Amino acid sequence: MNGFATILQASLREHARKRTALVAVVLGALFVLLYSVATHFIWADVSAEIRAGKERSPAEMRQLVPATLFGLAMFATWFLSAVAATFLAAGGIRGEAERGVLQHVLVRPVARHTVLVARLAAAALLAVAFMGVVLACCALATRVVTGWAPANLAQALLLLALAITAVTAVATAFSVPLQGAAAGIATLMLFGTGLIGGLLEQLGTGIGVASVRRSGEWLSTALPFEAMYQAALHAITRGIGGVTGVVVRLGPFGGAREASAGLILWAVSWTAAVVALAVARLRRSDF
Amino acid sequence: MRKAYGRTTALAGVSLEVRPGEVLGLLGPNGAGKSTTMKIAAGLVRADAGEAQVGGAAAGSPGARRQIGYLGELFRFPDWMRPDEMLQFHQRLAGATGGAEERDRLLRLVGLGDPAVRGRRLGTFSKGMQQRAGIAQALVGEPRLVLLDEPTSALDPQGRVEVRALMHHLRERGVAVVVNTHLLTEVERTCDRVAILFGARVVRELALDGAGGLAGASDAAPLLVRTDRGEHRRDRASDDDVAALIAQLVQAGERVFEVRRAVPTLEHVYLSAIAGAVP
Repeated sequence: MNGFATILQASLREHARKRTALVAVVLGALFVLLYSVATHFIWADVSAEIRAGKERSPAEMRQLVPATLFGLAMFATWFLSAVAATFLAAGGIRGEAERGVLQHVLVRPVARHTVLVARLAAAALLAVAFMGVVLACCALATRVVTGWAPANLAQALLLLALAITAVTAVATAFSVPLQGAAAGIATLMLFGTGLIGGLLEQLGTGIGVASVRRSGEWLSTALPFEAMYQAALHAITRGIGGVTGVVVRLGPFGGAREASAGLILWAVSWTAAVVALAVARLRRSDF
Repeated sequence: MRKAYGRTTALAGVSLEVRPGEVLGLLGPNGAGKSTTMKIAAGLVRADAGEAQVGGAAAGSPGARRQIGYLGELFRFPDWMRPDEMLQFHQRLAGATGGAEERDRLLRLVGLGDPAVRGRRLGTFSKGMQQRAGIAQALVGEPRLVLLDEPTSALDPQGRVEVRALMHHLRERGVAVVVNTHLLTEVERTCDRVAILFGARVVRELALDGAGGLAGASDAAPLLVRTDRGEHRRDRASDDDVAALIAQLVQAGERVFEVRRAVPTLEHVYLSAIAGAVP
């Protein structure tokens, strides 16, 4: 077993031993349960109104309600996964060194970048797995209760996986010079800035002010994990047209935006650059 | 080597060498630069100037790291690991091929060979037991240079005796050992050579005779003769002069109670080296 696999395996086992995985499973299950119950009751009310003839556009309501609910679930899952990734990765380097854990790994003949990338991979794997399972369960619950299914769930999952990996990379990079709490705060601030970018974009679109919308777009592109979330939102709502489509695609904290190959390449390059900066800093660090 | 952390000078020109089969002790007050010296050798800290080599490879390079074992002053292993798992983890990272046989041998060597102890997680170990596990970890892969930073600080007297025996064992196998400690008695009993660091420099280097004394110190030490009339001191008396000196005193009517040499102890040398280096 090489250095990367050894550290990856140990990091995954450590997260499991710290009950991180257990907390994620229990709270994820609780989230899916609450979402399913809420969807059931909301859909029961909407269906009753449609049956009673109170809705003017029943066909649109059958798309608007489940798509909005699933969009909210996706945002919540994305948010929780990003926070989980931050907590998993923020203490990865300096925090571990402060505890006296890292030094005995670094003196072994394993490159420092291997240590960093393996720890990042472990955190990203867990956070992505959490996101994938929770979102897939929410999609299943939506389908069972309402009969509606997202247009392209697989693509949305891949885009969100890339977004979470980018956030994990940021947290890992901050963890090189900063201790766990500081690295976590810095990452969440950057994550929040991305959300504000999405909000600005929505606001600009809503009030019809191009400069505000462009500012939001620029911010979302500069922090491409937000752009990937918007692309995931676009992937699940692709088949919805008309006014309903416009409403659904506005989404929470960032409207849907189609992911061009260039945007995805930018997100991948951005993440790679963040990792490269972290590796460069780690190589120059004293422990 | 030179090293500064911001405005604080950790090393201001330190030059040291440890040879195969030699145990070098680093002594000095806190902040003298002992741990920094070790960390540079281990590749954890980069020197601002100068270079460190391990068996001909630049410190910190993969070639150097393949040859070293390191136990830091402040360390912690994952609480959830068992000693065997921790050693296996380090075997994999070190590329060591010793397998279960090596793990078994190392755990026995540090007194953790009991199956009941081996079955426990490291998080349940006392500080002393963790230090033993740390020493075993430092010996994974049969390193040529072992760096031990305060290896006996948490050990009971029995543990210290065992670590002493371990260092003798390493010396016999031709392993170079650098040990950083504040315990002068440990240094006297285990080290071949001592470097005293103070103010980020080596202020004194001296050899030990392996029996708790300073090499060559006893022959040069003044001779003290205690009689009923007081103590007589002869600064340049050889062992051959002792009989004549006693005869001379007895002839003069004095009753001789004790003859000894005022051999300087490591403690005296250490304190005088520190005092002499104070600006």
